[in-house]
Amino acid sequence: MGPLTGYKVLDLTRTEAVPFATMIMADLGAEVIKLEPSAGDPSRNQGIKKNGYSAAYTSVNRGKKSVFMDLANEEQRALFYEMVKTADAVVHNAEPGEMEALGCGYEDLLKINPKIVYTVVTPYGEEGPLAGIAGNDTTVLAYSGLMSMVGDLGGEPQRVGVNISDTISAFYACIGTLAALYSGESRKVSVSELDAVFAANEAAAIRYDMAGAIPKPQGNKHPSTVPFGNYTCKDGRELIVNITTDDQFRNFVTAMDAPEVAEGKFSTASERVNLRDETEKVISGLFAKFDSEDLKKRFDAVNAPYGVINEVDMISESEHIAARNMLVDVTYPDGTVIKTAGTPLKMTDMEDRTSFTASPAGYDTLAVAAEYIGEEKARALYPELL
Amino acid sequence: MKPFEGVRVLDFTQFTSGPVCTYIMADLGAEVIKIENPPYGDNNHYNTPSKNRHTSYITSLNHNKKTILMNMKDPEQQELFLEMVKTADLVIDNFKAGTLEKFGMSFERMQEANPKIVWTSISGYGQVGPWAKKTAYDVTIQAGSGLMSVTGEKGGAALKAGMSMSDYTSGLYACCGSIAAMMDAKRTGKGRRIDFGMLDSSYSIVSRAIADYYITGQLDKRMGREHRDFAPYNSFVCKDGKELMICVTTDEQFEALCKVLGVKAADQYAVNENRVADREIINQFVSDETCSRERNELKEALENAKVPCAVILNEEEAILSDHMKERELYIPVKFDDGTVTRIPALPIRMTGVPQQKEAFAHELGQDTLEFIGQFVSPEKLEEKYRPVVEDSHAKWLARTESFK
Repeated sequence: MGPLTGYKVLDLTRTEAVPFATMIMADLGAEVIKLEPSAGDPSRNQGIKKNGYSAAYTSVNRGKKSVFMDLANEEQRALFYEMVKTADAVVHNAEPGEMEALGCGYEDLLKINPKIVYTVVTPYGEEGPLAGIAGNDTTVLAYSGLMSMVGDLGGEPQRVGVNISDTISAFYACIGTLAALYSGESRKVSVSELDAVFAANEAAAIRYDMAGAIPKPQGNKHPSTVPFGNYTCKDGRELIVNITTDDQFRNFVTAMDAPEVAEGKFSTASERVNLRDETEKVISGLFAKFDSEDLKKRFDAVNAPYGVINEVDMISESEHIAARNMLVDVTYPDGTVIKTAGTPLKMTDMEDRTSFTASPAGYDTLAVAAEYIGEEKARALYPELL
Repeated sequence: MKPFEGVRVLDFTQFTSGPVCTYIMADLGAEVIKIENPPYGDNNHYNTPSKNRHTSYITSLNHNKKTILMNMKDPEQQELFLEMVKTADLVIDNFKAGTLEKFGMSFERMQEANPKIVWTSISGYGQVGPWAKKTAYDVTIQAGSGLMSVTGEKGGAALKAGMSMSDYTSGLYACCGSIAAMMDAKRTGKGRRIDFGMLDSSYSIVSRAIADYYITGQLDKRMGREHRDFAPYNSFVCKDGKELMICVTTDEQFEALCKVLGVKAADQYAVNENRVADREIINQFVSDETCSRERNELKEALENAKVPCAVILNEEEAILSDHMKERELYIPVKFDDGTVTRIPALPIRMTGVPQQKEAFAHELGQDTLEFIGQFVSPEKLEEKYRPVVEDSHAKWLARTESFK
């Protein structure tokens, strides 16, 4: 149960991370029916697996039913149209034109359900110089300008270690779909992944306009803030800090027994940036005087924000993740359990779950089809499943 | 009509994560009232770069919002706030956990004023939990969540994701939840309290690597430009010394790639699994061929063959690209004093929402008198609030004296 209980979403998204968009809806209580070709979403066959179930699929498709759907098959398409009649939203990331060619474009579905919300995610948009060109998470990242900013200081551009373009786009697609549903009107929602990543990187975009800045990989430094990033303590461990206010700066240097550093030329954010190299030298020197555990205590005492670079196991096993119910079980019908991250959306009148389910490809086909066309017709439509 | 016409958001958010959520709602038609604490307001007013004193952060993250000054320590303004809540749909903050409670606010009090109100709080570690109350910023969250640990060169150091990724994605994720709660409040008449932690949010983005770890007991290694599940998926050097990203994710694409390169791979490499197992051989196989092709020619041939590829563009090249220009994705933001800067357009296109061609931005406290004037008498406005606005403006001017 959740705020979206009672809403029904037909989900044709596929590959690694765009399905995140509809998983959010499932987490919030919507009935999400994934419609897959007989070979299944390609992410089911990707990467590390447990008992044949992939981490790539499970991590972005929990809570969804799965129905085989071949839209090129006239009879199955008729079932799809029946489903559309009572659905609230249809979400897909097919190639531009593909759904229209199958009679399943927005205009087609609008005739069937005048209130339908229809969301499409494409790498480069449905119109424009790149529309229709093959693209994926990393090609989008490369085009966006963001990839050129990820990397070691003075190093070469790198990927982000998750499908970040897909994920950012999934968020925008979810926002757009829910906003359209909020309005109660039928709308087509279209998200171009490239537009989305460019928009998310807004700080770089405006800095280019204001200061002509063309960022290169900065490691863990930040163009507008010093101190920022990793600093090595006396015992060789690294802590990571992000000091954005002058008060925080004062707290930090005071915690390191050097309050005088906050008094003079380093006292304001803009001066610290102007005197970057000098500031860095002083701060690095201070960190090098203390062991990491000692510094953590000192920073905690004045609530100065710092972080530790956690590997996935360290954070997953932390008291925080346990207390927040953020490590969850996703259980398949055969009992296979895959652990992954839960939802950060904690809200009143919604259970904070640690247990979810996922469906193998097409698992719910007959049951769902029967809801629309009766058991007999469902079995006739999918003889291969009997 | 835009989907959030008629929606009012009372926005206490500062820095990045919260403002992202609310500017998107503003772009989609909501009236967003940014509430700042006098005299100095959001600290981002003082982080450069700037243009005519208007900082980049304030301009891009707070466009299309009205801005008012309110001191929530004042009991009279606490009551005033509750009057505002009666007219609003969403209250949102990203204060340290417990801050609004310190000012006498509680969800119960807000619900008394307006049972439909949704109140979202974005914080580093949540409102409750062993780390609640700790201050957190983007880089510490990226570091703590595991996101940094999966990013970086093979055998290299963990890296941040090039931008305030945790802040930004937290804002997006919190937006999804807030809208959902508003949808339900519309039909049931009852709002919700949302407790949103940035660490939880960033951790959830790493969900794939978490699943991998618990299945294998091994941590995923950092892969640099490559993708652990696919090969070839890398940058390759062309004849002119220029690089081209070639990112093959299907066997059909690999076949097409080989055709374009004019080579035949060993039979077993028709299958991705085998290509991944012999990644270095595949990398060499492709780069042996790309080094004799001019990049532009190769890129065009690959695009025609539906093989995903791309040149890594820097920010300037991206902004000046045909894609950005033709889709008009770099739009002006205008202040009343005539200052104009450019930001990315809203990437959500929607029926009933004209494509965003421009935005406005307001100065610190600019809408205070007009907005508060809807709730208090003209005498009160002049006596109590005008001096605050003038004082704040003077202090902002003084503090931004040296700004461009």
